[in-house]
Parts: sequence; structure tokens; C-alpha cells
Amino acid sequence: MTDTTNINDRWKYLTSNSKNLSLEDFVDLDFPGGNFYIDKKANFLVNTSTGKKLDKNNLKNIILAHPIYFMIITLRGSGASIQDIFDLLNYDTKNGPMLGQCNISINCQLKVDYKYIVKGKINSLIEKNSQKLGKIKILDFSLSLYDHLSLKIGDVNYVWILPLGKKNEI
Amino acid sequence: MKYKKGDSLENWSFTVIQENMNLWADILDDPNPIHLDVNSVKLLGLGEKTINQGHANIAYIINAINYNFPDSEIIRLNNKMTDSIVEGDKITVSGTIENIVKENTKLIITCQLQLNVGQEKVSVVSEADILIKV
Repeated sequence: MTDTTNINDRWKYLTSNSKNLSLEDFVDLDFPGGNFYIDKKANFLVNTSTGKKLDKNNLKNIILAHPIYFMIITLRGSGASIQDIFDLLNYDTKNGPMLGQCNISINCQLKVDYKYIVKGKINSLIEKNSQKLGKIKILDFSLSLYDHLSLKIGDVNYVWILPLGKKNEI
Repeated sequence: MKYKKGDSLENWSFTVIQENMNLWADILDDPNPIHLDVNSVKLLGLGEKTINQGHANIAYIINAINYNFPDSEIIRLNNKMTDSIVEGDKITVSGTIENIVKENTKLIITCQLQLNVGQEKVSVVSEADILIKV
């Protein structure tokens, strides 16, 4: 069983001290974890806002959620918001963080009106020089989705590019 | 068999508007100003228009797959973001079938896809494994 109190304490400690820590201190850090419920109406908006037409009058007959929910759920249900992740790294979002890569593996399709559990960890945090962006940090983390019976539904691996400005001295 | 290795997928297009970027900022709980405020984008030297969320770009890839293979399930989708998509861009997803494996009552089709703006700008390069029950 995951010790969420310890994980939350570790996030608090790292967030408060990130300026003084090395990049390796963030590696293998578990996400606090949590859950996310796929709302039928939100699923409708996700579909229509990306150009997939759904019949609004047929909402109650829609069973499956848009597969992009693998990304939405893993980020929203990880127990740490995108802002929390940047706070953890003492990173200023004004420098324009970017999603660099996202790999999704799917064991089972997602359902609307259904709650999923999210767990994951940070795989690596490295610093590099980019010709286009200057000094950057690259954050690699993975999140997995489970149903209420602990059956794994899928995995998402993210690589985020974090351009560093003067405000980001992590 | 309906599908063949080397077949091109039918192109799928969509125009990115600010209203949808605002909605995705809420959906993702993402405060990044590059999606919402054109002045932030200019200040960062990232161009003259707000930048679409990468997640939405991947959703376009998924919609293109679903359009070409309506009764399928995506079982793997790897995406590399190579350039940004900005407000007002008309994106087009194109692709080809790279491989087909038949296993009993199912096909696993591997596709290479890319999301373009115009002919030159490639913004997402993806590889997908798609399961079709036959």
C-alpha cells in the first residue's frame, strides 16, 4: 500500500527546498496519486473542441470516453497539478514550458461516468543546452491508470521541455 | 483485406481557435500563459500568436485515426512534438499504414502519422498501433 502521507511530505520538502537540491533529488519521486472521474458532459466538450462531432441529444448513449483522456486523467488525477509540478522544480511557467513527447499505451478503452486511479513517478530530470531555446531542463515522468479493481488500464510517459530564464535557477 | 501496407490514410483537418485553447486550459488545469495571452508569447520570443496545448494536438491525431478506422481501438500511440501550433492554424493530419499483423480474429495495424500546418511545418510526428476486430 502506498504511503501517501510520506509522499505528500516529500513533495512539500522538495518544493520548499528545490533551489538548494540537485537534479538527482527529484528522480524516482512518486506522485501523490489520486483519482479522476470522466464526466459525460466534459467528454462531449473534449470531443467537440478537437473537431470530433458528437450528437448532443445522444449523450446518454455515449459509453466510451475520448482516448485523449489518458493524458487528461493522468495529469489531473496524479495528485499534483501542472502548477504543483512546476512549483516542485521552482520553475516559472512564464518561461513557456512545452510538452516534448508523450507515449501512451492502452490496455482497455476508457468509459464515461467512471472513476480512474492514477499513480506514477518522476523518471529523470536533466539539464541541457538547446540551440533553439538556450539552457533547458528536460523532465521525464510516467503515470499509470487503474480501475477500482486495481486493473491497469494504461500508461502515459511524458517528456516536458522547460526553457530556463533568469528566474529559474534550479 | 480492406487495408494494405503502404496505403495512405485520408487526411483530416481542423482549425485551431482561441475559444478551444481557453477550454483546454480549464480541462488540464494548466495556467501556462502561452496558451491564453498573446503578450506572454511575444515577451518570451515565441511568436505573435497564442500556442495550442500539445494535448489538443495529440487529440487531433487520435481523431484522424478514428476517422480512418471507425471501429478500431488505439493500443499504442507515441508522439513527438516537433513544432508549435498557434491560434488560427488550419492543421492537417496525414498518415500511412506501415505494417499489418493478423492474429486470429484481430488485425494490428501500425501507422505513421504527422500533423502539419501547410506543406512545410510538421508539428507532431506519431506512431500508432490500432487494433481492429475482424
